[in-house]
Amino acid sequence: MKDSFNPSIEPPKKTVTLVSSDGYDFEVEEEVALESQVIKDGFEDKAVDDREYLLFNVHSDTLELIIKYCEKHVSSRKSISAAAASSSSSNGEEALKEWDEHFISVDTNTLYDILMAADYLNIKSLLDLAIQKVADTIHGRSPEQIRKKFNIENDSIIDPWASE
Amino acid sequence: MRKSLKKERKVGWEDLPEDIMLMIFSKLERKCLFQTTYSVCRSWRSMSSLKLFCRRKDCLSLARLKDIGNDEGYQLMKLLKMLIDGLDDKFEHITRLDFPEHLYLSDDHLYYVAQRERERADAMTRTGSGRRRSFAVVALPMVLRVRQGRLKTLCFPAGVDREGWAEVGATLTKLLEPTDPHQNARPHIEGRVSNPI
Repeated sequence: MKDSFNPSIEPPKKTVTLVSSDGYDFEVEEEVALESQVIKDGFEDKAVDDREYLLFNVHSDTLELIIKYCEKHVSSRKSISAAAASSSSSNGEEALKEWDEHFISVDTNTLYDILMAADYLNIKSLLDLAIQKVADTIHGRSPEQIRKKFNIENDSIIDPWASE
Repeated sequence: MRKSLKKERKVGWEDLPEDIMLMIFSKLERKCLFQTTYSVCRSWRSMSSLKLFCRRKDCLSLARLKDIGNDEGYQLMKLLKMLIDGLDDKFEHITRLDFPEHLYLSDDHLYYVAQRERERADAMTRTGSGRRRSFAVVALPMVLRVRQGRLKTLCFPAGVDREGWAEVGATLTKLLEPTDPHQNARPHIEGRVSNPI
């Protein structure tokens, strides 16, 4: 019957299962998973039924963060384009930038994990974000401070600029 | 919630993949590359060198040097030493040296580069980290080319396992060592050094 149709109920969302390196399943919406270029490519190549991705290089702690990032970006994009369509003023992009800034303000170990995962999953915007964060962290610090911050061992190289 | 499985592991900021490191270093000012990242650790130094002085992996480029101050010869030698110290396996095959026209590269400098590169080649062969390349030995041992514009290029011999480098190093050693006056001191270089600076 026609009047039983309720437009606010969307069809059930398609989901994809991501499996972390330590064996945890994460069920995420398809469009969230497709933020990763690697999954997107795989998705197009593969048989449609195959909806499980084993991510051997991504630990569950990191994967959780990555999914959080992708979900936020998918939903923000939607609200930004919705705001643009209704030509209402929106500070969505500004807010997202702020969110990103907060998201990436993590300790260097976590930053490393995010960086490697973003590279592995090929999520361009997240990779850029992480790289910029690393560059910002380097900027304005002395070599000694950088070694401390990033936990890099001093392999006793000689400073060529030190006076002889 | 999932912390229990998380194992302590060493995070390797010094072992970042090359392409990621290059992306990071691209965001840094040149001054920062020179003064800071260069001194952090070996791998960062190597990457800083690559960013600062290499346009390709087989080419050292001094093109970005504007002015290296008074006592140019000494400073340049120091810089070359620093550069070569910073080279590692990523630079397996340096065959070109680019330098700006105003820079005076003396025989001592060239000798130093050739000698060091030869040592590097030997060391790499010993440790087995030198990768073999299968291309023909470049015939000309040394060619000095003044290109259009202000950049000069010095091409060094390549050759399989850098035997060309070894040859140049050996020949230059011969040239600099006091020679037997009864022998013909002419070096066995088939090519020639044209147009010395």
